[in-house]
Amino acid sequence: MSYPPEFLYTKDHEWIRVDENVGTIGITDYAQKELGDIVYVELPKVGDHVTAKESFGTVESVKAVSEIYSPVDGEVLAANPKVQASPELVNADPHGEAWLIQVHLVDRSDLEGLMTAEEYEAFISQEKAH
Amino acid sequence: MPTSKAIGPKRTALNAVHKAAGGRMVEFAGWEMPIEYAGITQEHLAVRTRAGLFDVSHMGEIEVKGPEALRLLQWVTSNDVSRLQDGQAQYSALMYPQGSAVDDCIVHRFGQNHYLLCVNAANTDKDFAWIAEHNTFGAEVSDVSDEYTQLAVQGPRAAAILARVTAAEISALRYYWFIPATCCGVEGILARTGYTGEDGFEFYFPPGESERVWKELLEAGKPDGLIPAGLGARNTLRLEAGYALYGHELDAETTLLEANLGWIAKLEKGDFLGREVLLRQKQKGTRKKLVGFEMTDRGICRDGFNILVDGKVAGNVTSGTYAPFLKKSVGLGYVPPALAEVGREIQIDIRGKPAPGRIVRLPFYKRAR
Repeated sequence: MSYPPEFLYTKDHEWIRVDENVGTIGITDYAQKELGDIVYVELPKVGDHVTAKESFGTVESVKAVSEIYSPVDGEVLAANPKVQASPELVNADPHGEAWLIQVHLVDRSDLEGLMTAEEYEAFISQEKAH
Repeated sequence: MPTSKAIGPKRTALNAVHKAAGGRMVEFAGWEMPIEYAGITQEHLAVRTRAGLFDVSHMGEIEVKGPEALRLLQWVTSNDVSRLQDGQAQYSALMYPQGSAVDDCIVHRFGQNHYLLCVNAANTDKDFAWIAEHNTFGAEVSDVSDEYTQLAVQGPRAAAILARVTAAEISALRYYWFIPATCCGVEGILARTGYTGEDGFEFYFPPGESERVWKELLEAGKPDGLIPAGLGARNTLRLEAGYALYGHELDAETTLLEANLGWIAKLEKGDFLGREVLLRQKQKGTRKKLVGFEMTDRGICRDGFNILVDGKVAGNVTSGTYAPFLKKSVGLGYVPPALAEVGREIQIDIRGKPAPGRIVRLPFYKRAR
């Protein structure tokens, strides 16, 4: 699966797509593959605040639990009900239908430390080599 | 003698085959083993509905021979070895004087003076040393782990698949019995045993032709949907079946009675390591009891989480997972016997958030016979 060039990426394997001041956040294809069969997703509620580099939820596979870290500060505008009802969607379409939350961005400077698709692909090829 | 200490994890004879098949390799008990190939869920469901093939060569084998073999095994293990006939196997525990297990194991009887113990990979060296230390009887004890590849074919289609690669009378082979058998042209020992809660077989044979046997088994099982399965599915399958795993439900601090394994502690067979403690506990009761529970709302219980009763910590989860066949989260854990009754509402502390669950009867899953 390719990494959409319009997304930005974190070292914890989340992606964010920014439209105006709304950020849509999910986990990457690499992350879903590492986790394996995803069976449970726990997300914040609409109106909750998320903080850059802090956990806002968990994704659990049969074998492991993974915290999801927010790339940005913001207020939660939506939590994807589809992935909570059908967690396996995260394995099937991590960059599309299985987005996790949408947030109202407070400070766009949070985006500055994030990776481009190209940088992220270089980053995970290093991770794989370990 | 135990195998020499190599740098890095040990590898089974099938290591390259697993990697070529897309197996995700992890270190487990000092071995580099496949945790999954196609995915734990798919592998788990294949074993419940069709069949799965597992490389379990990391398991250890310890041979006990000689005229004193029976006396030694009666002393160091909890089950009654004298009840075994040639070609019969029994689930048992290697014992500490404290009534707890050094390891759990399967004892196979080849003859009155010849036994083979299948033990956990992580414990093989410890088990061998323990048996040797208590061998004041003069039996011959050897670690023969390197002499065997062990493959497990598990699932409702296992017998039909095996029948295509062996002329041995497997339909007459009963649960927990074994026979010498030639499978895929290789001589070995075929046992009707397993760790999945399904019908199945474990084939022990010399490692030389492991790759060919693995490939021929997969080929023979193709029409029945046989797929390779990893340690991830092995763990979720055994947990659904309510089987204990050493290091989780069993350890040096936990007695057999506490772990619901009183049925393998034959207190009337004569003296054995740990018997006194077990006798005392049988009269006076235990400190804790192993229970199975299911989560009744959202949330997945995991190893190490606290079990809460009325908001207070009552015990801990020893194994917890999402159970792929039952499609809910289940777990095993210890609570005081007074709190262990089936139906009791409990909570599991999931990273600081209590989530509701209920103690249920074990096993979680029992196959239709």
